[in-house]
Amino acid sequence: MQKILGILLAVVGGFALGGIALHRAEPINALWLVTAAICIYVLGFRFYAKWIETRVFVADYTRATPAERLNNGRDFLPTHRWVVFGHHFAAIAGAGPLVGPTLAMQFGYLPGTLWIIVGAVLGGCVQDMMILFMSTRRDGRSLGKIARDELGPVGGTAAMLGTLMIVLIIIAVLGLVVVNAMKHSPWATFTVFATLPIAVFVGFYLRHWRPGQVLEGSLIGLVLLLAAVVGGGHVAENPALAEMFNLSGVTLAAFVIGYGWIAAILPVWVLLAPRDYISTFLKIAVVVMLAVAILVMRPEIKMPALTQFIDGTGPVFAGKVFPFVFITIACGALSGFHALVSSGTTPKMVSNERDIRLAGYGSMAVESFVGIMAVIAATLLDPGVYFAINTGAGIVGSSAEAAVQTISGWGFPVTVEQMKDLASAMGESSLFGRTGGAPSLAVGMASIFGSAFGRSLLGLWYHFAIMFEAIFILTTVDAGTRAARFLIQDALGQLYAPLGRTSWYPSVVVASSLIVAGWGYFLYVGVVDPNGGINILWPLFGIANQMLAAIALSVATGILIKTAHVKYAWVTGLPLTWITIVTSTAAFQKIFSTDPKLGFFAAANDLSAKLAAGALPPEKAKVAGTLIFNQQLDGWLTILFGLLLWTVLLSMIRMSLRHLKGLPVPPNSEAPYVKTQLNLASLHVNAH
Amino acid sequence: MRTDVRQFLSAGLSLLRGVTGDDAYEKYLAHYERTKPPHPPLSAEEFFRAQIDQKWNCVSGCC
Repeated sequence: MQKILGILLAVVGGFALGGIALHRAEPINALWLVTAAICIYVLGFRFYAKWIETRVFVADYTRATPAERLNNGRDFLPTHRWVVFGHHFAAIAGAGPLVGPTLAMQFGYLPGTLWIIVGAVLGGCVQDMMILFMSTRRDGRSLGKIARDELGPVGGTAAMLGTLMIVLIIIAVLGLVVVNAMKHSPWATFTVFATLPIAVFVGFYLRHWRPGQVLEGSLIGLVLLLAAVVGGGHVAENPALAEMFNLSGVTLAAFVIGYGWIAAILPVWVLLAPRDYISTFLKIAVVVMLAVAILVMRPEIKMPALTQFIDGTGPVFAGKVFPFVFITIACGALSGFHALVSSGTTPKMVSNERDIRLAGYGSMAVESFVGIMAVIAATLLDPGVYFAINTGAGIVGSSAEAAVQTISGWGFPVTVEQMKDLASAMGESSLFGRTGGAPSLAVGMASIFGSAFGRSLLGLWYHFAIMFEAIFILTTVDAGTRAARFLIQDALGQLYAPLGRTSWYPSVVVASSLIVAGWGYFLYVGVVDPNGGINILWPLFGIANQMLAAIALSVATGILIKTAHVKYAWVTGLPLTWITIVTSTAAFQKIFSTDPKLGFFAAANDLSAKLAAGALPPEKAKVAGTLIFNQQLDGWLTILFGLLLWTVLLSMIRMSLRHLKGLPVPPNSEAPYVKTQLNLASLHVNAH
Repeated sequence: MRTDVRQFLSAGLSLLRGVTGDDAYEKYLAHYERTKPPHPPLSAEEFFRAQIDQKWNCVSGCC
């Protein structure tokens, strides 16, 4: 039976994937993508992940997990596997898999779709599951700690430093996404601002009025958020109110920075925790709704399979399809950040090692499917519209006429009227140059929801989608700032012990200010950059995220080699090799390319030369100094990321070679075997 | 048929409560009853406060 199912899935999935790959000329239906993706996830889950579980890490259902051994009724707690799955999915899913695939569609739908599916099944899902397993075997310890224990102090420090840097970049780039979505849009700005008092209200509700009634509090929050979306529409119609919420990018960036600082020093129950509860709820609801709507609507994909921009001349971000499609998609296929979650709260909940496949592999497969839905939302737009929304004014010109002329000249026809009609249907004044991926995704989502559940409400759906993305992003802003604060406080504590105390207020303020200043700087530069900023920051984030994935996969490969599974080391070794090639190539091009569009240092030199020659228009000359410094800084950061990656990789290879030669290496840090006392039948574990 | 639907819905609800953390205090009390430690159990409010602080003292979310 299993075999028949496998063959059937393989045939259907292979047929759909082949259909996508070979399909040319006329538009293709989105159902092809959905079918191919689902068949391949199920195949991967049922066969590849199962094989890894039984042969590679050899899950032992008689072994007690940390949740059982260290059960404290709170974070260490044996939990039903579907709850672990839901929890893990909610923790890894955010704005990343929505934004990355949207941006990558400048190459056409094919490269991105293939990488989202194949990268997840062979890379991302494997990484998440492996790290979850390894952390579960090690009392739920974090990736940085495991790296230190297994590879030695050098690898551990590199992993910690990598984590800190990636957090700063991700906050800055997501902050930029939300600023670009709110810029000069009273409706979006009002809705996003309204999420703050709503979260505080829910915070008080859960803390004082109905302690711990999370479901109830989240539902109330959700209803209020929907009211805020509707209210935003009325604000936008009222000229006086609309003017109040019509803010420039720099003002909004200042708001986000100030907000981030306040949120970081406030207790978590006020803002961060309640908003996270609401967003978990919203996340699950929207993913299900979007999947249903796509099945009902079955949209046609209008983007070609490949565009001419695979040669590296793309307007959304610079660089050829290799390696930049793999860098850009990030969280949808393989994300180093997930390794932090897989070695965070999830391993403390797993009640049996047999549940790891569902939580680790399964959650990532669903995340990848979210990426596929983002692909569909971006590609069902007319390509001309997609490029008009996602290209900065610095590239296509600041007037609507100039923009449509340039974009139509690329072979993607679009007219000023078309963009005007679309903007007014969405309740916006203009959609030109709204870079960052969120607005074009929101237009796509609004079209899907609109045709499945009622077209007259396009403006509402659009702003609902913006609010949905903003709520994730603001959670990342505070949660990331807090996480980075702990890392900094840990480091500062080495210099002056009281600074290491995480709840000592002066230390909280000093460390939070350092972190907010760090990402605030990148956010500010991104906002003043006339090309939109995203085209610089997103690749930098992608490189950092893939570097962290390479670190996690190095740790996993090192452990596999050390624990006598050398012949299976390719399971993590294969994605590790691929992502090392991709990340190193991208970093090399970003550092050494002489093309000012691609290379950071080349861009800095080009701008300096133009500034010295007086060839810049006055508004660009004003910010040129900042942009030059920033390009150089980004160049040095890329060098640092490359060094971190290779440091961890080489320390893993050195450790492995020593082990294979029989020389001493840090011992396997697995917790000793203890037999489980839990009733296996009650945990739905088949003892076969 | 009716009982099936009811069972399905209640399973869905308990899943949702688990994922959102709605049932965390009940689980804590159950654990307390099983282990019977010498100190009295936390109140719902104290428990919830401790729970939140603990959750956000590490990297717990993603991009």
